[in-house]
Amino acid sequence: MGSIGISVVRREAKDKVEGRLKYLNDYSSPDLLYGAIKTSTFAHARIKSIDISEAIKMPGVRAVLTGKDLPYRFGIYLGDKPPLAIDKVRYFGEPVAAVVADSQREADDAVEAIKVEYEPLEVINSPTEALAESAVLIHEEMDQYAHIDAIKPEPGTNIANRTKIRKGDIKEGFEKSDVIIEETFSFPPSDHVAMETRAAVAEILGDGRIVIHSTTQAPFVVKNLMGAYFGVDPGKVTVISHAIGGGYGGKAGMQLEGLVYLLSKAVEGRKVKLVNTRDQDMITSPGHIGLEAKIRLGATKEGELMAAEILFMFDSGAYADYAVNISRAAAIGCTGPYRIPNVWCDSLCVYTNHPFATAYRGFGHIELAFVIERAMDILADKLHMDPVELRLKNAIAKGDTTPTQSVMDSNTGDLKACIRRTAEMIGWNEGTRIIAEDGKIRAKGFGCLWKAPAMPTNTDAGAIITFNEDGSINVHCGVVEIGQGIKTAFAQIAAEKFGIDVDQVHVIMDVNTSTSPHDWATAASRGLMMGGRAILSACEDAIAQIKHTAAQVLKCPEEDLHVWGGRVFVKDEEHIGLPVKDVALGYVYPDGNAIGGQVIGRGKYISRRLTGIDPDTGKGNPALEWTLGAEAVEVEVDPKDCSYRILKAACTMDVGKLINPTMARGQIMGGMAMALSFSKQEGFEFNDRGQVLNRDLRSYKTLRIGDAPEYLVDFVETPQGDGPYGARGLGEQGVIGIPGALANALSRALGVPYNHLPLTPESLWKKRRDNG
Amino acid sequence: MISFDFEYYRPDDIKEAAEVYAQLQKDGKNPLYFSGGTEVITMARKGTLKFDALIDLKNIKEMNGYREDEDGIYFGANMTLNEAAEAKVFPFIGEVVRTIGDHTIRNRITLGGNICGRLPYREALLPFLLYDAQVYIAGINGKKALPLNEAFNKRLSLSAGEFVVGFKVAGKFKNSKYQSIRKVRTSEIDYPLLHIASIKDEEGIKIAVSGLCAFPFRSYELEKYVNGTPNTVEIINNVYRFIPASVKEDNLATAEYRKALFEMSLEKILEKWGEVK
Repeated sequence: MGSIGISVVRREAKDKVEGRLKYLNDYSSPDLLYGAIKTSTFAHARIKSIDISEAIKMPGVRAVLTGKDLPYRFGIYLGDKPPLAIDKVRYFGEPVAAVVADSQREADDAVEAIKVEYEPLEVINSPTEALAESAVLIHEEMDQYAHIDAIKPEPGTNIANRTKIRKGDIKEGFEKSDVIIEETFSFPPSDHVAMETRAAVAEILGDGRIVIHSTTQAPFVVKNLMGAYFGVDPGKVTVISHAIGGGYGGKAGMQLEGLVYLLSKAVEGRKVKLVNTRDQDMITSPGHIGLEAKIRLGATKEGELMAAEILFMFDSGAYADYAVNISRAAAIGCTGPYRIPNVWCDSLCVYTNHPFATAYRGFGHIELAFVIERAMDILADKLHMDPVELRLKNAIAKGDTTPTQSVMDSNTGDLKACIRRTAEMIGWNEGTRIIAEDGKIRAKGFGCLWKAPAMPTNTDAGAIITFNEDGSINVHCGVVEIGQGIKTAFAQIAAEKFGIDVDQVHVIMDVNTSTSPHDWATAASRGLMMGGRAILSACEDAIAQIKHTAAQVLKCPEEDLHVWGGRVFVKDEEHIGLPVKDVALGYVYPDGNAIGGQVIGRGKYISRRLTGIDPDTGKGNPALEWTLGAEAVEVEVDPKDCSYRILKAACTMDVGKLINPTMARGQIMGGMAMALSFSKQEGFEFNDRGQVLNRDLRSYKTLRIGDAPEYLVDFVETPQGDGPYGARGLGEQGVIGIPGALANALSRALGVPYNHLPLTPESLWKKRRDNG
Repeated sequence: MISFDFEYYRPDDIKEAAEVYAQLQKDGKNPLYFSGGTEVITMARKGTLKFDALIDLKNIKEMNGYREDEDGIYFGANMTLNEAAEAKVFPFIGEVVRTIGDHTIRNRITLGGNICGRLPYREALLPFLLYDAQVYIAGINGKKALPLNEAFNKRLSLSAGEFVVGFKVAGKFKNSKYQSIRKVRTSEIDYPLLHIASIKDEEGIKIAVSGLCAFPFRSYELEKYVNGTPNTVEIINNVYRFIPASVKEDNLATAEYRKALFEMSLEKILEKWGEVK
């Protein structure tokens, strides 16, 4: 009986489609109090005064807090952010005061009654402005901020982190290059637009225990940071994560949990709920990072890449959060999936007065890929070479080295096979630019992808397996179900190991940090690989225990036994055996004697042989596994007004081993849709005062179902030797090659280089006109 | 959440509605009529619209549905855009209103609300302008009928306490040919950068435009010029002489792009009329 490679329907599907699945904000209780926050109307300003005298007197109001009441600094890597602004605000939408009241209505009313006076400061609206010699400092006290070693802030500037890659000899690399291109690229900060806005509920029990329910992808990170920020004993913190209505990275790290805990503390530990409104979720909570980048790329006239010199200036916004690690991840993967012997990269995480950035699907890789994939097409043009051929020629493979000089091992996927398959699906050889009779232009663009998890070297996962009376299995793992279908994939992995029907495996959906085995975070597309490995290890542990008890009953050596299909039996005499159900909770002899006790399978996995990177050269081995793939887009452009439709989006990914084909396809289609939306039409619009003009869904437009192209998805399966059944991560990767592919298609269609997102028809039209 | 208290009234007929309005005004309050409520809810929630009382017109029967009699087809102002689109008496009305919002929101937005609300686009107005519709306006002194093209100048001129009951279109327009072009920034479910609606009948080409300027318009001067000038290039070159206001520039698009869209769309429409005899 096989469970791997079968499209099992996800466990929560029925409740989801019937609207019965409960999300955090669906829960209520009679003792609940409600929080609300007052946000800044300025992007950069001194706070002259905050008058809470009216608000505190209002009916139902239990507490009103301002920054001065909360002398903390949050930050997952770099402690730069007060929970409520102290002395000054650094972005439009920053929380400046908070209210707790008996009802949401009363809390909101009290927020309206808080009066804040500001004295505007010079606003920094881009990384370039922030890096200017004369730029004002957004964080004057950067030298006092605590940070982890891997992050290198530069006090006295607006640089929160700089990561350096120095591989080979860049000077020599360009000397050997016959053709060199040089280009700049950019896109503004934007938002994840998860369907569910962030929410958190906190209460402090009588014995000091803190219970937090949160829309979090990273309950163990929250627990850990609660200890780090507030000095509370981590064993006294319980973080519970329920069903999540879309994470995309935006619900990793610490979100509302720290503030809602402080609100609960202000009302003697009573239970307080804090839920983002849509506009708060878009601009007050962190979103997708912005970027300005420069690249010089050199190749021989045969198209062999020789040198890449890359400068990333990430727009972190007002605080560092995950952005400092995103800028680091982008440096680590800066070349994209190409073999380049000489690489120089400086990746800067730059403070601006924009809403701040956090993890976003792709984590540094969608950003770097836009730069490198556009550059590859520009280079191909200059070489008079087919861009697919250029990619095939330089595709990274086993034995090549990454920008951090780490060798691609025997688990390396087959990028060339992905490129060929995607080219075939999109019909590359049937023409990449065709003018139809009505004057419309159909054009195709290509973009490759690679991604490794950006995570600590000791990232781990754990699993526990218990049994029911019928021999069925309960799987308990700390990876959060955020829509990716991971719990179902886990059931398949366990079912495969035991040779039982997947319906005989039950998965615990919620994650509770007090009862679930430790798990780093549901991020970095590592859940399937690491959680999967932990589950396999728990299965093996359980199987050993089953054999141990059965060996006594069957009077044979343990090593002669096999567990499969609900039975434990002698390998070479299959008729001698027992049902697993008779052993799993302890075996009972006919006379009533019992032995063995219940089987509890314990499993764990910790990442293998990872290191940090050298601060001067970037040398090191930070990547657990690289997922490789190739994507392409076909557009139909009206050359008159430059409006366009996306006809097709294709992706081939080397996933190692398909666990659940339909869900894998769904993840990849979803990734492509998200990236098409991002590159076609998303991005915050700012006025010169740094205010976000499109902070609602009336004005911030995401892709609609009717805009969806035909999606073409295929897989290559080069096993990941250390992955569960050979599988590797695929959750985020579908986004990565798409922005480059779309920009390449439009550039080809209109004969103008498009290097700035979003690719709105007006921006295409203007650039073409300006280029003559 | 709407963060302020307000009174709510749901009158059963025109008279009662007008009286409630007059009384509220007399009491020093700031009342507002509404029907679908999509603008009222979103704008009140954002704090960009304030009122002391809402008067819900949905219960007024003669504002609902459409009916045909000897002098034309009557459209109640309470008809939702989807109802208007599905009525099919004038497919052109369906073609135009189907571009507003998405299907779900069109179940709420009404003809009256789209034409009288705060948002400046009022695209549902375009076919009624072209069809020389009569607009029925009610107030404390009862109901009156006015030619829409006279009553509408930048916006519908309503006195305090007046509201639109419905529209009537003469049956002869059923035979007129029509076309429209709508341009958006990126998503089709967005406000128009430009929406040109046009019909052609025995009187010639008629054109109404939304999105280009701060308000929708139908320009008789433009129509006269277009119908008297055979050369399309010449028309495009001179067209801004007949546009009643400056071309709009906002977060959705620059004026230059709107102009470019207008010129290429108008050219396309005229080209197509050239083929239609």
